Amino acid sequence: MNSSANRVTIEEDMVFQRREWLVQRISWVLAGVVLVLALLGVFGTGPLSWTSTTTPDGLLHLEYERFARRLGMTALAVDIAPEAARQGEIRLQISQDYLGDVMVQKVTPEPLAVVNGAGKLTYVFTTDEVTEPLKVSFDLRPDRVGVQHAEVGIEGAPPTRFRQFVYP
Amino acid sequence: MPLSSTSSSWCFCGSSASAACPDVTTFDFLLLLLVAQAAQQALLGDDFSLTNAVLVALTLLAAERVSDYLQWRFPRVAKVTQSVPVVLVENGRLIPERLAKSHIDEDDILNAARKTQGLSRMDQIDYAVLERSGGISILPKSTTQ
Repeated sequence: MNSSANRVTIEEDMVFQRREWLVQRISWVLAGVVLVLALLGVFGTGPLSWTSTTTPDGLLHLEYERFARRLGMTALAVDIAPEAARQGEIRLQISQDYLGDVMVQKVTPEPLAVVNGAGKLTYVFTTDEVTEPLKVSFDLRPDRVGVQHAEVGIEGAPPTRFRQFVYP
Repeated sequence: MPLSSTSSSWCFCGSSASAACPDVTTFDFLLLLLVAQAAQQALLGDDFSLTNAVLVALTLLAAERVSDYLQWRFPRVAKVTQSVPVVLVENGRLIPERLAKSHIDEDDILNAARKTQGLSRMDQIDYAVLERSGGISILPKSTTQ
């Protein structure tokens, strides 16, 4: 490869260099793809990440993120229909497996009480005779990498499940 | 050591504008600072203790030493991490394909020739080489003949 060996010593290697240029250009494309995916929300916070689910009876509507990041912030927004209230109380249940893996930073509005149950935590909110849905927001900080399974429902009604992937 | 050298094989910044000029440009400097800032948080996490800082520093130092050893012990590794020099001008003739692939033009070569050798014209240049560090070295006609 060293065409000029007789006069100038340069440890050239054009075979290697060409391969490097190729790898370089492939990497640029890959970096571009990663950026586009990031904008779309594949790594959290974006249209591909925002999603929602509803319980079969339509009492609960959840908005959550498909993709979150460990020690980043994500939110779970719960819309609770007024019909979910029993004797002025709304009892929202979330699986403890999930709550153990995402640190709950804040619940807005603050629940009246949090009751420990079999594999579930029950957040108790009080309502007057209202017709507007109650909006509860959980600020979460995921602490475990991988797929998280969550189950959210009103006490005594069929819950809804969702999965969330947490990046390192 | 300029940013372009270590990253050239790592493909992202390599052979960018800075490759033509081994000096750290303002943008290089900014990039270095911002990347360091972004990485720092992830490396340290929530633990701001002295112990953690020392451990992180030790880990990075160890990684540097190990890669240094591997590069010395296995020349192949050095090639991958530091790239190889590329001859851009041979016997006074530009090699356009290599210039284009390296994102370097004649002006960059003349710039390096002025700075390092006090040369002003292309015909005074015998060899121009894009070094592994990202700088361009110039061999004037008189010294190689």
